[in-house]
Amino acid sequence: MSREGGDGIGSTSAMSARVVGNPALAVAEPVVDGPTLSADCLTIGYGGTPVVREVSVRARPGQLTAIVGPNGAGKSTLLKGMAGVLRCSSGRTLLGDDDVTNLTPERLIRLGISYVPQVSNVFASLTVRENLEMGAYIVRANSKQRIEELCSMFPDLKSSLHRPARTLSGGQRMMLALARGLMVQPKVLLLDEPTAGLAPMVVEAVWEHVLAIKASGPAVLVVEQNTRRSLRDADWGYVLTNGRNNLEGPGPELLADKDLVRLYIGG
Amino acid sequence: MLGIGFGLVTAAIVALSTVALSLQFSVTRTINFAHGELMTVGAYAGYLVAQHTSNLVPQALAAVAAGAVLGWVLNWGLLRPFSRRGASKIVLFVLTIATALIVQNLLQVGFGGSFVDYHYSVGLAHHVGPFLWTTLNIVTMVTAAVILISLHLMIRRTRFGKAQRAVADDLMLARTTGIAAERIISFTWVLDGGIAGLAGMFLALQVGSFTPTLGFGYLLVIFAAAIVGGIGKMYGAMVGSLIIGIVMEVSAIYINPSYKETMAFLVLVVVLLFRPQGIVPALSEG
Ligand SMILES: Nc1ncnc2c1ncn2[C@@H]1O[C@H](COP(=O)(O)OP(=O)(O)OP(=O)(O)O)[C@@H](O)[C@H]1O
Ligand SMILES: [Mg+2]
Repeated sequence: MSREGGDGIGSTSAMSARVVGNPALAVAEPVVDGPTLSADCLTIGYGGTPVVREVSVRARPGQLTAIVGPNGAGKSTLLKGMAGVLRCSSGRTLLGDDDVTNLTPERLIRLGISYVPQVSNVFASLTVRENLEMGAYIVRANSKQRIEELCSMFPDLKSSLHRPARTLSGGQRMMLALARGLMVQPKVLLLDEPTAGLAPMVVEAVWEHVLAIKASGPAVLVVEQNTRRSLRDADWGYVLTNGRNNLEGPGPELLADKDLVRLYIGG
Repeated sequence: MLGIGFGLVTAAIVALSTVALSLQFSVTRTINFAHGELMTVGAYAGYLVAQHTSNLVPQALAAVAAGAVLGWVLNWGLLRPFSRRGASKIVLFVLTIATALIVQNLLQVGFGGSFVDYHYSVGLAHHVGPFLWTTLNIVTMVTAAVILISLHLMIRRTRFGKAQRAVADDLMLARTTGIAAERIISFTWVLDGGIAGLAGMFLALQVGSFTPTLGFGYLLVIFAAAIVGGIGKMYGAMVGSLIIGIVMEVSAIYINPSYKETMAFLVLVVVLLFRPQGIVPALSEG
């Protein structure tokens, strides 16, 4: 089996990921009784060689699950496969006990899996309010009340309800994308780099929102470039390299792993 | 003034057809070479009903129905199955060319290739301000205005219209948001066909006699109006149609009727030279 180049951890030939910390901790009962989203040996690609190979991750309700790894590791691809945007060529995705592998995106959101992509995550020519209305497309009823709720959660949006999303700042856009993804009160939220490209102060604000969302119950699976912050707050973290599981464990314990810190965080 | 008067009537017809094309293109991202045939089947449907009644309403309903059915069939029977199998946009475009030719040939088999006469009892001409219009002219313009305003309201205010704009913006994001994109696209084809069919009927009535190539002959004018307004922009399509319609009719009077279409393309070339993105800036577009 050939791999592209040796980049430290990625080139170790372990087929199954190394687990740090005490695995028993991870299977402790979740505080909330929503379903767990489990990806089991997913292989996903864009037509050529698969980009994600036999990756397994699990996102539990009320917990923050972080996926970290170098650029091009296949983190976004994995989320796309779980959100129905890309087809998985093998493996399974389970929501609770239900097999949801390769369902269409339209079906997955109806089952409670909400996906916020890394780029183009708002409807640029629609107003903020219209974006939120579209977020509630599958619920129809009560969208006014839900918009009110989300506006109090994201005060930035309240004053911009009538502006086209294209005129928003990067931070406001991300807030809108999060709010749109929350309109349906999802059971699982898939977030792809919610803080990428934002000003440092905005990054903190967005991250606070992510933590607040997970505390409210859904399983939150987040891909992040800021490894240190995301692992610090993650109940469980996965390190992906070269499209494979490499390392997993409770976030803070992963941070204590010297190899990982040396390779991806520095200092 | 006479030229501008006629120009407004032509503009109304072109605008109906162009706005339908623009809406269809922005939502489905498929260039429809059979757009002219949506108009032509509308014209023949109106003509058939006119053999039984001189009332314009059933004729118009038949025209709308014929165009809507062809639009739906084109998408459901051809474009959707192919795009589900991953056909590229260029393949879909070629399929619409094939459709255009097939529909023209079927109409030729059914109605023959020679001109059929299609009139509406003209009645007296009315003076409206500086313009001189027949009843048909006025009906054409009022109908077009009502439809365009309704479309505007639909696009801005209704759940369906907002979903159309969402699909136009980003198909995959729309799908992950739960919008039933295939259904939205299907309805858009029906709407496009219905409006184009009606425009075809008005066009046929305006010219008085037509053949199975009626709509095809107007296709390039409609593409020109759509491009002048800025491709895929509904409001741009209205402005583009107004400009093209008036230029065509004014030049028909002051230069030569046979240069009408040439003038339309002259406008197109000038616009492409100086404002390739179309004359209407990218406002909040639908
Ligand atoms: N649309 C695409 N078509 C073909 N290959 C793609 C496509 N998108 C990504 N890839 C390839 O898949 C691999 C993984 O990309 P992916 O975007 O999943 O990485 P990532 O871990 O999210 O990286 P980043 O941190 O840069 O976002 C890369 O090698 C990339 O070149
Ligand atoms: Mg990525």
